[in-house]
Amino acid sequence: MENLKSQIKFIQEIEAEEIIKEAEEQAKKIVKEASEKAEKVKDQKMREVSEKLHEREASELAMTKLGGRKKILNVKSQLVEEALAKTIEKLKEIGSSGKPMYKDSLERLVIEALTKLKGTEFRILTNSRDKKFIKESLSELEKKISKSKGASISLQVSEETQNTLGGVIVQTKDKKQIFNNTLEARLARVRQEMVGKIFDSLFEGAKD
Amino acid sequence: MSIEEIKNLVTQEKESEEKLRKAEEKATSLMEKSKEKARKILQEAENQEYYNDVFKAKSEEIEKRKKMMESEIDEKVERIRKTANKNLEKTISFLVKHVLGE
Repeated sequence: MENLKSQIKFIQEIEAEEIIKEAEEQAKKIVKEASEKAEKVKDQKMREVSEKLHEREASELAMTKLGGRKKILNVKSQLVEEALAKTIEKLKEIGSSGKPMYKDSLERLVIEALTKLKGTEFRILTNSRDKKFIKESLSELEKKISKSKGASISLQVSEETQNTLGGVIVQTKDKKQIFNNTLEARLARVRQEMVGKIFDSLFEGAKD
Repeated sequence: MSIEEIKNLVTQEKESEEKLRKAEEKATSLMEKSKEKARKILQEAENQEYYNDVFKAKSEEIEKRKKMMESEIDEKVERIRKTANKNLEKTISFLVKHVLGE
């Protein structure tokens, strides 16, 4: 009898233990599966967030960089404009000084204009100040240009007065050819042809 | 088997049944707790607030970098202005020389 009792007790204790053990295993499995699923959800969500952030970062930083380049370029352009404006002031100053250096330059500008044009008879147009200087050296100019062109050249200073900083406009007598060698026109050409050098000169030493 | 022994056996049987019932009760409780834990784990993973915080933190970092870049650009602009100011006379001379055909 005692044996039977202990057998029943033993079997039922084992059964109880198994119920709990099985429940524990099931419980662990549920938590493990949930953890795995949660990891996948987190990974997916983090990937989405990272992608959005990466896009945002790339686009915003690129925009900032572009904005910066634009700003620097605008500042440089503005500084070049200021340098050109100051150059005009300097040219006015040099012209009105009437120094020999300016008269020499004026002569060079006339000769250069004449070498660009074909023909033998020319008219020179200029402002009232330079008209006086050119008239003073007109015969000398005729000799020089005749020599360099290998032909007798006739120059006439127009009574027409140009509103210019200085320099000359030279045209053939028939007005078919014209060369503008005023200081404004020359500055515009220098600006167009030497923009790189102007930048190099003005920003020499600036680290990019 | 005497009456007394049968009574003992019945008592033991009842005790065993009680043990089993308690074991099942414990098993049920374990399952419920694990389900609750699993639910919380998933809920936490789905919690948008966490991702919003991550997004916000990183966005703030991007903003800081932007501000830093802008500040670097401003410093660069300042350096460029100083350089241009230093080279202004030289550049004017260069331009005047070319305009006057020297």
